[in-house]
Amino acid sequence: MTALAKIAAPVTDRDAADVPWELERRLTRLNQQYCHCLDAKRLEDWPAFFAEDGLYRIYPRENLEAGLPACLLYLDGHKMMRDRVLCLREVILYADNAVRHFLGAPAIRDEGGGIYAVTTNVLVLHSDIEGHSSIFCAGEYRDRIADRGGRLVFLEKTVVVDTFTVPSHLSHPV
Amino acid sequence: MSAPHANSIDRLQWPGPDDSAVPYTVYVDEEIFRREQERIFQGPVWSYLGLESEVLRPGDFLSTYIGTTPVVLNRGRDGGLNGFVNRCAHRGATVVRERRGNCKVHTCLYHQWSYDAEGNLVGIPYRRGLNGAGGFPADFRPEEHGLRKVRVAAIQGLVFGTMSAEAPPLETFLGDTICDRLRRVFNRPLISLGYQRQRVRANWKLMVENVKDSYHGALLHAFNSRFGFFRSTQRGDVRMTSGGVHGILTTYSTQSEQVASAFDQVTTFKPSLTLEDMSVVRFTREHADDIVTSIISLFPSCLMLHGGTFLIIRQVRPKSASEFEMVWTIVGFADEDEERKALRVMQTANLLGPAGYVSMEDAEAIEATQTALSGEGGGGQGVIALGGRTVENQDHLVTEVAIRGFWKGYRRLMGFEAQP
Repeated sequence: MTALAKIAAPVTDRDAADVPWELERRLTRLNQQYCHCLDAKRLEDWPAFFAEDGLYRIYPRENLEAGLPACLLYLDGHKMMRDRVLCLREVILYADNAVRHFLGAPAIRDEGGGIYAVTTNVLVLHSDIEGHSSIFCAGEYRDRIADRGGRLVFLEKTVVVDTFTVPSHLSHPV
Repeated sequence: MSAPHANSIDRLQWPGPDDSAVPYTVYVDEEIFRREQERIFQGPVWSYLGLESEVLRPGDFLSTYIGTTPVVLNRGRDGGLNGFVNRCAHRGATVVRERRGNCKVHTCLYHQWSYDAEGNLVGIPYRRGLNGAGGFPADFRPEEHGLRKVRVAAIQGLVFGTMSAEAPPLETFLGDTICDRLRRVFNRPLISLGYQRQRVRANWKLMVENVKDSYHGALLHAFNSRFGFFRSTQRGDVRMTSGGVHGILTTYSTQSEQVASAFDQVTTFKPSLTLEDMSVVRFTREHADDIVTSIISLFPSCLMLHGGTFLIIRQVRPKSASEFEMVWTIVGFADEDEERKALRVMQTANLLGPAGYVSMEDAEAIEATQTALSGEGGGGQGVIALGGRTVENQDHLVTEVAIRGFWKGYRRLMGFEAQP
C-alpha cells in the first residue's frame, strides 16, 4: 500500500442536497440492509455490500480531531474483508454478543457520476450471554456510495466512532 | 474457612515461599487496589506519560494518568518538560479538561484559579477582596498553592513521571538491559500516528501478566501460530532488570523451525487456513540485527512491542480492582515516508489493538479470568510455575519467569511476605 485514504468531511444539513425521493429511499435502504446483515451475523454476505476494491475502516474520533491516521480497523478490498470473516469464523475467540444497529436519518450529497456521499448516525447495542445490554458504539457512517447499473455499493465506509474507548474488544464489523 | 480478603490485607498470606503462586484476592480486593495506588503508582516507580514529540512546542500539554491520579504533561516556556497533578489546589476541581492542546495558562473552571506550564499558581480572583471586602488573608502565599508537581524524565523520546521523591533516577529504575533495548528500538525521533483505546473489565495486573506471558502466545492466539508471527518454539529469551519487575521477551530469527509437531495436540492450530491478502502480515524489519520481536514490560504498567512494522506503547490505566483502560499509542519514526506510516496503521489495525486478530483475544481471555476468579470472594490461587519457581533470566520462552519477576517486586512494595 502507498498511502492511506483521507477521511472525508461529513455531509451536513448545510451541504446536503435534496435528492429524488426514490434515490434517498434506495440509499437509506442500503444501510438498513447492511445493518440487518450485521445484526443477523451474516458475515459471509458482508463484503458484497462493498465494491471489490472498497474500503472499510473504523476511525476513532480522537484521532480525527488530532489529525492522526491510526484506525481501529482498516480493511482495503474484498480480500481483506473475507480474511476478516474467515478469522472471525475459524480462528479468533471472542465474546458472542447479540448485536443491534440503530440508524439516524441520512444526509446526502450527490457527487456526480452516480456517486453519493452519505453521512448517517449509528448506534450499536451489545447484549451479553447473561442478557445485559450496553452501548457498544456511538458514531457516524461516512459513506461514499456508487450506483453500479442500478446496484448500490460502498466505495468507502468510514465509521467515525465517538466511543473510541472500545468496550472490551471489537470483533464483528460495525 | 473465610476468604483471605475478609481479613485485613496486612495479614494476607502469600500462598507459598516463592512467586510461583498468586492469591486471587489481589485481583478483586478494593483495599488492595487502594494500597497499590499508594505504594506502587504513587510510590518509587516511573510511569509512562507520553512521547516528547506529543508536547513538542512550548505550551503543548497532554492529559494522562499515573495509576488513578490524573496528571498533565506540559512543555514549559523554557522548553523543559513539566508534570503536575490535574487537581486544583483550591477546591480540587479538574483544571485541564482537554485531552491535549496548547496554552500559556491553565484556568480552573470553578473559581478561575490559574496556573502556568510548571503548575505554579499565577492568578487568584478577588485575592485582595472586592471594594475592601473579603480577600485572602495577608499571609496567604500563592507559591505554596501550586499544583502538585510530578517529577518527569525522558529516555529516547519517551517521557516518564513519578510522584515520589524516593524514586531513583529513571535510568537506574529501568536498568541497563532495558535502557539498551530502548536505545536500540527507539533509535531516532518518534511521532505518534494515533491512539487506540479499550476498556477492559478486569484487574490491571492481568493485562501486565498477559504481556509477560510467552506461554499463551501460540496457544490462545491461533492466528500467530498459523502465520508464523510468534511461536513458543521460536528461539528467544527473557531478560529482566530491577529484581525482575521489568522484563523483555525477545524472539530471534532462526534457520530451521520444527513447529508442526509441537502443535499436533493443540486444538486451536489450524494449518489448513490461508489468508487471501497477505499484505496484512508481510513485515519488513527495521533493524539489521537478528531480533525479530521485543516485548518490553516496564513496571508497573507500561507495555511496549516492537517487531516488523509494529512500534507500540501501551499504557494500562487502572480504574478499579475489576476494571482498567488501555491506551495504545501507534508510534512511527519522524523521518519515515507516508508508505511506511500507512503500512504501520493498516497492519496494526488488523493485528493489534482492540480489533486486532492477535490482541482481541487477550481482552476476552482476561475478562473471562476476572469473571471466574471473582467468585468465592477471590479465594484460591493461580499457578505460575512454567520454567521453574524462581526469578532469573532464561534463554528460552517456554517459561512464566517474567510473571514471577513482577510478583516478586509487587510483593516487596506492597509488603506481602512469602511464607517462610
